[in-house]
Amino acid sequence: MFNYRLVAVLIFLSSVVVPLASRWAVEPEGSWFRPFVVWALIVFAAYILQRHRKFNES
Amino acid sequence: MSLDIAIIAIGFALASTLGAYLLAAYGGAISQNLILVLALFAGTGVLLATGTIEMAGRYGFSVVLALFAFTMVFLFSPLLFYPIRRLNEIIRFASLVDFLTFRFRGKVVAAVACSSLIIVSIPLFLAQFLALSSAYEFLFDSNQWLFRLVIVSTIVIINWNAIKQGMARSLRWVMAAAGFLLLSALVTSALVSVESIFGSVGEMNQWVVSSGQRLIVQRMDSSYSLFVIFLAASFALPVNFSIVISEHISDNQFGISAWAYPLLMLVASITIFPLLWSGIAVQSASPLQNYLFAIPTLIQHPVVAGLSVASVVLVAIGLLCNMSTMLAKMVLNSFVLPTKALHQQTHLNRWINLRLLVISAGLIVLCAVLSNIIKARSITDLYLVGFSGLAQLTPAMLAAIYLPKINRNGVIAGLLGGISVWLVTLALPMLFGDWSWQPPGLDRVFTFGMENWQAWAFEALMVNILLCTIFSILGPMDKEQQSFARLCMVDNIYIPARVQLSHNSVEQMLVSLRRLLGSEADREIERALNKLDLEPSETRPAALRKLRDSLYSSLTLNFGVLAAYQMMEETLPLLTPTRAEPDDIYLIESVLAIEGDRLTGIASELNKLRMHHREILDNLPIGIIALGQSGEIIKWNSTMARYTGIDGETVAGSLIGDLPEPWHSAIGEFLQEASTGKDNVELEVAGKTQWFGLQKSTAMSADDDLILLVEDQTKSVMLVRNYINNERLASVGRLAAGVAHEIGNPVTGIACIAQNLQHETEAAEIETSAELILSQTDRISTIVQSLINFSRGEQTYHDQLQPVSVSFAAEEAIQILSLAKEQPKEQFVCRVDPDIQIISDHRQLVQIFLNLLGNARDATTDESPIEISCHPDGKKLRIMISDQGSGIAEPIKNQLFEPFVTSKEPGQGTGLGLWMVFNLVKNLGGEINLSSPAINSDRGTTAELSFDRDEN
Repeated sequence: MFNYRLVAVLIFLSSVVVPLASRWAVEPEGSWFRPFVVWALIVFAAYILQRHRKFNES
Repeated sequence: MSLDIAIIAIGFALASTLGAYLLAAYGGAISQNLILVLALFAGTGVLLATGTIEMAGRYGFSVVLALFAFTMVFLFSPLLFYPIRRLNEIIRFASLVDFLTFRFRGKVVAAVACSSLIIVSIPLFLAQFLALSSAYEFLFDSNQWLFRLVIVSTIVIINWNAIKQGMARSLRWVMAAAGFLLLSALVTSALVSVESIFGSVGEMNQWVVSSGQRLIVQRMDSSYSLFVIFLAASFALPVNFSIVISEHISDNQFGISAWAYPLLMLVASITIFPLLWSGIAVQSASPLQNYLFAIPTLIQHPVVAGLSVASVVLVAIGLLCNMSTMLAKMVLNSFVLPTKALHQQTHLNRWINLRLLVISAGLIVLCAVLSNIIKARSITDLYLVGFSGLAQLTPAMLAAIYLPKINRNGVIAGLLGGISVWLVTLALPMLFGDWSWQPPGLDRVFTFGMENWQAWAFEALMVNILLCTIFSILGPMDKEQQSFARLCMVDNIYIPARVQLSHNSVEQMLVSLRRLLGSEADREIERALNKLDLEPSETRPAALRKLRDSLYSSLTLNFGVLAAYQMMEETLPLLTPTRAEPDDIYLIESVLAIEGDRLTGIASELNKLRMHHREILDNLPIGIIALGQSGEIIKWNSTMARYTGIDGETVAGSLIGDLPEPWHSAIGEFLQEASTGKDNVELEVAGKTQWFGLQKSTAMSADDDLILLVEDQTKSVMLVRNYINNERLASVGRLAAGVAHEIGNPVTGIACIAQNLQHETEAAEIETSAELILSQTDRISTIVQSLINFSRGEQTYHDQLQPVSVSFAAEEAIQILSLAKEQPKEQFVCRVDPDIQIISDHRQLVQIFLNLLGNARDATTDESPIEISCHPDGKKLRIMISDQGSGIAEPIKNQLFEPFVTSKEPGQGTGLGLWMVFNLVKNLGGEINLSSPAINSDRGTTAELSFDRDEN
C-alpha cells in the first residue's frame, strides 16, 4: 500500500515548486509579504485537498 | 495607565474564557471545530505573542519558514498523524510516551521517554513564566513573588478542576479562549501600530524600503536550522499529540485542522513584521519580546495593550495548565501506576486524580522557582532550546511507524545520547550560563550555549539518530518487539489474533474486572458494549475478544500502556500467548472488505483473487463450516446460511455449542464421532423434515482448521424412498394383473353359465337373476380389464397417439378410484359426451385422470361433487376437473409441478403425483393449468387440461 501518488507529489514539490517559490518569495526587489503569499497558496491547496478527500469519503 | 491596562486585560481574559466556555457547552459542530483549531493555535504558547517578534529581529524571514515548518505537521498529517490515528482506533494512547512504550515495549522505554519529555518541556514552561513576568514587570515594575503565587495558585485550581472533569475537554476551551485572544491581539496590535506610526500599510512599505529593513529581514542564513528544528518539534509537541491523537477528534475535525491551523498561523505570522518595524520606527526601549503590548501602550492604545497583555497571560496559563497535566499523566502512567497494586485502592479515580494534581503542581512550582534563577531572559532562546529538545523525540516517533528494525535498545540509547548532548550543550548553559571546554590535546575551545545553538541542536539530533541506528543494528530484537513493530507499521492493518480467553461470558469478565476497578468496571463494560453494539448476554468468543480489546483500549487511555497491560493480565488473561495464535481469518476478511479499496498493485490483485475464492466457497451448492482449533466457527458459507437460516455474520466466532437445535446436536455429535462421514442425518428444520450428509476433514496437524461439509440430501432420500415405494407398487400392480388375469377365466365361465341359464330357463325370477349375474360379471370384467390396462405403464410416442374417448378414460379412472376407497361413485360427475375424442393415449389419460381426480377427492372433505367437463376451444379441447375442496395452499402454488411438493400430511402423499401428471400431459402434447379457487367458485381447485381434438 505504498502511496506512490503522495511520493510523486512530494518529489515534484521538493524539486520544482519549492525552489521556484522560495526564490520568488525572497527576491531582493520583491515585497516583504511575498513569503506569506506562498504560504497562503499552500493553505488553499490543503483546503482543496481536504474538500476533495471529504467529497470522496462521503 | 498600567492599572487601566491590567483591568482591561482581566476583563478581556474573563470575557473570552466565558465566551469559549459557552461556545463549548452550547455550540454546535462549527463551534466545536473552531474551539479545536483555536486550542491548537494556542498550543504554541507565548511563542507567537512574544518570541517570534524577537526571532524576526534576529533571523528575518527565517522565522516565517520556521513557523511554516511548525504547521507542516498538519499539512503532512498523512505521513505521521494518520498512521498513529489509525492505530489509536485499537489502542488509545494518552500521550506520546504511551505510544513509544507500546511500540518499543518495556518500563525502561517509558521511563526514558517520559523523563526526556519532561526535561525538554522545562524550557517551554520557563518561557511561559518569563512571558508572564515580562508582562507583569512591564505593567507594575515591582516585586513579583505575589504575582507568581497568584499564577501558580490559578494554575493549580484550573488543573484540579480539569483533572476532576476530564482534562481534555475542560482545558480545550481555556486554550481556545487563549487562542482567540492571541489572534485578536496580534491583528489589532499590528493594525493600530501601523496606523499610528506609519499612517498606512503603503507608507510602512515605503519606510521598509527606505530604512533598509527589507534587506535586513530578507536574510535566510538560519532558515535551514530553524526549519528542521521547528518541524521536528511540532511532531513531538505534547499539545499537538494530545489534541490530534489522545482526544480522539473526528476525521472531519482532523481534516479541518489540516488547513485551518496553518491559516491561523499564517494570519498570526503576517502581523510579526509590522509589529517589529513599528517598534523599530518609534525606537521603543522595550525588549522585542514585549512589543505586542509595549507598542500599543507607547502609542496610547490601552484597550489594545490590555488585549495583548490578556492574550499573553491567558496563553501562558493555558499552556502551563495543559502541559503540566499532560506531563503529570505521563509520569503517573510511566512511573507510578505500573508499580502499584491498584486493586488495593478503594477510590481509584480519586487516588489517581490526587496524584495527578500533586505531580502537576510540583512541576509548576519547580518551573516557577527555576524561572526566577535562570540566567537566560530571552523567550526566543528558551523556545529554541525547548524545540531542539523536543526534536529528540521525533526520530523515535518516525521509527515507530516507518522503521520496523529499530528496537528498544536503539531508541533508549538514542534518546539518552541525544538528550545528554542537548543538556550539556544547550539546556544547562541556558539555566546556569554559557561555558567553554577545551578537550585535552586539541587547540579548539568548544563554547556551549546559545551562541552555537544551531550546531549543538544538530549535533544532539545526529548523536540520537546515530546511537539509535547502531544499537538497533547490533542489538537483538525479541519476538514481542517484532510483533509490535509490525503492528505499528504505517501500512499495517491490525487483526487481533484468535486468542482464547479465560472467561466465557460478559458477566464473568465484569466480575473479574470489578475486583480491580470496583464500580468503574460496570461503566467500562457498559461503554465497551455500547461501542461494539453487543448484548450483555454475549458468549461468542470472537465477540468477547472484541470486548476485551475495547476494554484494553479504554484502560490504556486511562492508565497508560504498562498499567493497562498489567490490569488485563490480572483480570482478563489470555489462555495462550498472543503470538502463538493464528490470526482471526474472519476479521481479516471483514477488514479487507472495508479497506480493500486502499490496496494497490499486487496486493490489490491478491485481494481480487481472495474475493474470487470467497465467492466460489460461498456459492458452492454445499454447506461449508471451518472450525478453528478452539472450536470457533471461522467460516460459514452462504449455502450453510440457507440451510440453517443463520447468517454468517451472526455465527462467526461462535462455538458449535452456541448453535440452535437441531444443528448444535447434529454437528456436535458428528464431531465427536471417529468416522469422517455420515449420510442421511434426519433433522427437523423449520418444521420440515430434511436429510443431510455430513463430512469432515482429517486435520493434517494440530494447527489445522477443521472443515465440515454439510450436504442437503433430502431430494435423493425422497427419490430413493419413492423408488422403493414405486417398486412395491409395481410388484403389487404385477400381482394385481396376474390375479386379474386369473380371475378373468372363472368370471368368463360364470358369464357363460349365466347366459346358458338365461337361455335355458323360462322362469322369470331365474332369468332376472341370470341377468344380474351377467351384469355383475360384466362389471368384474371391466374392473379386471382396467387393472390390466393400468398395469401396462409404457412410454408412448407421439406418432402412436390415437383418438381416445375422454368419457371412457374418465369413467375408467372413476371406476378404479371407487375400488380404492369406500367412496360413492356418485361423487364424481362426468359431464362429457362419450363421442368426444382427443388425440391421446388411453392408458396415460386414465393415469392423468386417476391422479387429478384422486387429488380432488383428497381435497374434498364433504360430499360436494367433483365435476369433469369439456369445452371445445378451436382445434383444442379443454377438459376441466373441478372440486369444491380446500384448494391449493399459497406457498406451494408456484411449485406444484415440482417433485416432492405436497400439501398433504407426511405419509399421505409423496408429492410426485402432479409432477407425474405434468410429465404425462407434456408427453401427450397437451398442457395443464391449475386454478385455485376453482373457476366460477370461491373455493376448491380446477385442473384444466388441453389436448388436440379428434376432428373425425
